[in-house]
Amino acid sequence: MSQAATEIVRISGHAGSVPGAGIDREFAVCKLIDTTTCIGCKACEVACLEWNGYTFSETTFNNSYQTMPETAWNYWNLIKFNEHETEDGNLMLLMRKDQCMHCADPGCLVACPSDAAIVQYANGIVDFQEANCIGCGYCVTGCPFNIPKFSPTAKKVFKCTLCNDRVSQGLEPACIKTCPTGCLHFGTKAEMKELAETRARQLRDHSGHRNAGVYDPEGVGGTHVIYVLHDATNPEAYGGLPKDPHIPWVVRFWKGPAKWIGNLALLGGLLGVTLHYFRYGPKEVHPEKGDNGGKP
Amino acid sequence: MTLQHPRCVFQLLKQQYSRYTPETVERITGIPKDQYLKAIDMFTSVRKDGDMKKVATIIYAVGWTQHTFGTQIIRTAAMTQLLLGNVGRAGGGVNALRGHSNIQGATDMAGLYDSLPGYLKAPTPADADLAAFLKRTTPTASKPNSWDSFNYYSNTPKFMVSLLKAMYGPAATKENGFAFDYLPKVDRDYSWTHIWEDMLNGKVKGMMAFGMNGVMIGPDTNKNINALKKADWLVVGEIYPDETSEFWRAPGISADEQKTINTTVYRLPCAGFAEKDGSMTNSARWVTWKYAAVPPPGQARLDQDIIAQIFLRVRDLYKKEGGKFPDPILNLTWNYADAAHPSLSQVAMELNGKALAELKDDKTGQVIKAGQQLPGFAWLKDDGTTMCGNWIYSGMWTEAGSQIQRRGTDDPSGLGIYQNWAWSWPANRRVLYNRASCDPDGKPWDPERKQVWWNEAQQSWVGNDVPDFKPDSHPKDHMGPFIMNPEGVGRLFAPIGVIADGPFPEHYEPIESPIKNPLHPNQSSNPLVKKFNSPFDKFGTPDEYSIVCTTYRLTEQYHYWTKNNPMNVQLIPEPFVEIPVELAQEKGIKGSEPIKVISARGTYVAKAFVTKRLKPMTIDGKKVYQIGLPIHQGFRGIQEDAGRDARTPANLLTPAVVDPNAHTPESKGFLVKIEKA
Amino acid sequence: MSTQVISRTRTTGEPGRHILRYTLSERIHHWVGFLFYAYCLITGLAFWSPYMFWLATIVGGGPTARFWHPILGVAFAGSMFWMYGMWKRDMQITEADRRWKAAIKNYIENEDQNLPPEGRFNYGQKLFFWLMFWGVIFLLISGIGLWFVESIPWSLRWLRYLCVFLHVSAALATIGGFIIHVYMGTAMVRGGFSSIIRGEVTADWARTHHRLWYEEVVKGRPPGSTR
Repeated sequence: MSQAATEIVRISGHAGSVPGAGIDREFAVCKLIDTTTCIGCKACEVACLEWNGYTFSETTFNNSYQTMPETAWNYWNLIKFNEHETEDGNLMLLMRKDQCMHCADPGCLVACPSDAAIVQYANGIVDFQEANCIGCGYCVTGCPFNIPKFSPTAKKVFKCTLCNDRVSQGLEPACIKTCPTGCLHFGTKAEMKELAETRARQLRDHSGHRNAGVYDPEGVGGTHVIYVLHDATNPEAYGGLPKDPHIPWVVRFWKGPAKWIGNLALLGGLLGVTLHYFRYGPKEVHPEKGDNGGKP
Repeated sequence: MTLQHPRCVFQLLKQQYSRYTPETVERITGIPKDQYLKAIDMFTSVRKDGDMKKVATIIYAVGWTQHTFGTQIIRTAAMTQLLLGNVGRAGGGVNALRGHSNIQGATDMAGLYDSLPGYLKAPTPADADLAAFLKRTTPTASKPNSWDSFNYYSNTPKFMVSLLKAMYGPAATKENGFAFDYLPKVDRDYSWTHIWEDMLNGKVKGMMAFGMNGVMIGPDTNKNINALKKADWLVVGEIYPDETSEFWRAPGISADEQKTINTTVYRLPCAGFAEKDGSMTNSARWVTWKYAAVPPPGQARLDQDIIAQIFLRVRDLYKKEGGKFPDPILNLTWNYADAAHPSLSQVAMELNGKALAELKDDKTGQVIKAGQQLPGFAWLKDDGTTMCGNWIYSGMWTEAGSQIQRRGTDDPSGLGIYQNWAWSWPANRRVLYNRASCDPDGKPWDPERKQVWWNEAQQSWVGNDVPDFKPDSHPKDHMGPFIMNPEGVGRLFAPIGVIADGPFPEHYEPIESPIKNPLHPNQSSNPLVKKFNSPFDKFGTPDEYSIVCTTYRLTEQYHYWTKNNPMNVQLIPEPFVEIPVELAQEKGIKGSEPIKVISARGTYVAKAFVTKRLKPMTIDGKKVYQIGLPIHQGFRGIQEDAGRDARTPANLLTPAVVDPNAHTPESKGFLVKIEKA
Repeated sequence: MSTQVISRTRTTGEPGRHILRYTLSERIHHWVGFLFYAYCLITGLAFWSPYMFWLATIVGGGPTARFWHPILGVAFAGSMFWMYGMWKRDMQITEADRRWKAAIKNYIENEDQNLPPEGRFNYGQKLFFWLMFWGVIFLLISGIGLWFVESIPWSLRWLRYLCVFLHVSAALATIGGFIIHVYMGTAMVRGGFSSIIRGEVTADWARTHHRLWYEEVVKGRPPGSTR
């Protein structure tokens, strides 16, 4: 969570309108990750920890270059490694920086029940406001990228902020700042999209990666973190990047129609019993005939 | 030139390499012929149909140099680039990637035992006096046919005398050969492995190791540890307790044995890289000044402060007690404002050089007053009127101020020259031999990407980069672009004495190899390689040790000291050995299971990293497995101290055999066997 | 169950006219269960809809509500399982229930005189019991899934979604039952509410609503033998 003051366009668990909704005053920001020029040095992992003030984690070797199996509440940025065998028998060591994708349609925010625990800024950053987080973990269920992580000690959920505190002060995110190969870029969504497409074209035309492309999935309305992949037809090979991510339909149903069906059912139930009472009233007790002759 | 004479270099070259058919390359390297041809076709495609516009570069690291035939490989690359016209071009050349930010600076400043600053040759006992030394080391121009040569090294006397003036000041006079006799004479090989061999044999009594973990970094760790046991004293300047300063408690040394080790170890806390200022020189020869971020903690001191303390006290002792030959010590220039704490900017100014008398350029009339900083090495004199600590660095700290602190990010040519960012030697040239970026008429091969060119109106070479050429040499005079060679041309053929090996590179197998060299089985490995005879210099044969092993570094760790930093340790928490899936299956080894890697010299224990990245190879008809292991962990560090790994340094395995030219050990190819731990 | 005719004088002062319907133990368990359920209901509704999030405030705020909801949920499940042990024999569906069920329209319209006689619990009460019993099992299993959502591997994430679906569905079903239960126990069937507090009903009440049970009690038959 950051303290930055940026225009808020969406608020989680919020009953009512959002002041910044629909505004178009700020540029949408975007992080571009070119997996084709990443060397897996993990400098971004350390930069992320350093900037966000987290200490190191105890890790063990697990037959991989990957620091840990998946991101953690205090480890927001993880390079995922995969020894990928291509169809022509070649081996590619695929490396993908995994972190919050900052979806335009964020599953975490949709799922969150707590007022303003998750906000979306006009620049596209989806940020957790831990002060308001109740630690229910609904965002964990809502996210199609397996990003929000629960802290058992803090009893709150944490994730990458896209360095909103830096971005709002005109700086680039810490991971971008530290990347030694320049595989990470930061700018407006439009610029990054163009740069990504240019790079993908270059890969298709000159490097024999015929399926090279840009990962900016429409299922979540596009993301503010986009990838250039050697093979955009197989994002799963890049440490399980979902091919067609979308907010789980259960979550959509739960936070959409189910809410109204449920609420109406509850109201209906209350109304039903009330009307029943109006119509029929309480049940009467019938005294046993002959047993109590004195009563009617 | 017809290139047809049967004894001309070109024909000899063709003859030499006609033996390296794609089939032979496949047999030696295991690279399938079709893939090999694909790669060389791709690389040579830059000159397709005689197109001279494109450029290709070769980038390498110690994977090429750490062999007993490393120089052969690098020369092959250089010759390939010369033949393809990729030298002197922006985006071309042969580029070394270094393991430190300042390796280039170290060799520039005579980090090698056989050179003086600026790659001047070190004197030998045969150099009776300065004149003899200069005669031996100053090349004379050879002028084949019309190809003239600038032969810039003909200026060697100016560089040398200015160096001696910088070192010994007024004590260096014309009469005493500028105190040439003060310099030590190098009588034999004092390179890395010899130091340890000599220490093991009791010839080297003490060692000062600053920011250099000698036990870990050299080959054959066991030998180095045992050598240190024999030393009288050891001074280690470090930022962490390291394996060298604690060699006496390496795994395997019992408490009883520790009592028998009489080496006195002095451990000096030093400043870390972020705690000191100074310059770094990168592989592209950019000399860049850096500033201290934080002061050194506690009692830690700057390197130059420690060295100054030692020097001043030794000098006092010589002053008081005299000695066999106190002059080089007593007369050494030490003109720093604070003698006990020399400022590195003053050292840099000393390296740049200054005028000791008024100098005048007859052509331009420019005058440099006595005491002023020199604008560059063109002003150096061999009569004692200039001083310069390192001629190639002359120009980095001039009267105009420090050039190496510049941070200009303008790049008008768009070629990435960044002329105003820091300063590159020589003379702020960004690409060496850039005359070769033009055709013989002085026009750029690629008019879109102009580096330098001949300006007819000015009768001068001009450009976006500083021309690396005689500025007024008209193209029609055909001066060769390789101005540092007396021939003026690039060297496809190495003359006698330039390198230890033959004139053309040849393939040799490593000292430990799974096969005999298919080209000449009776001389399989480099004949110039010296093997020591100590009990630690043992070599394995393929019948017992059938697996090829290589060592390497990881991006997550920096040599042997980030194992003390939790941030790095969490990224790579434990040592591992990468082994092919097929080998793992053969041996029944599972991923993350501890295994032993055993060479003739030692045993390394780490967890198996079963990977598809390493595939079995077919070399000379044999199925050969290669395994690889990172070098970073040792027996001191966060995980080591917590007992979370086996505490075995990787170089326990490697042999102490080196390339005869560069003295680089053979860490990238030796034989091992593996078993479950 | 030690259901019996009370012979001593109670509020009416008339001897022999009151019957013990719920023992002290039964009443305590009912109300303990109620407290756990009510907490889960209030906090659950807070998590359910932004328009009810304010409910979290009255039970200590969002994080506190989130902290106790699963713990008291487990407690409620425990309480429910206790009630199961206590009442499962009384809650078996009988032939009388089936006859009663066929005539349920009369019950809804308060034409109770047209209803076939019922035992200690009528079919509707049993239905509510089994709804809560099975509801709690689903709530517990899915609730644990929601509680420790990260323990469900990402590769099995469909389980996470299933948990949400089950938890929400089961909760809504129990709430529906709960509304009817409260309505019936307070407004509709007078005497029911006091019976779960004080434990007693009048003989008339018993005869009217649970005649078979009444007859058993009068005859001194052991409970649960109505089957």
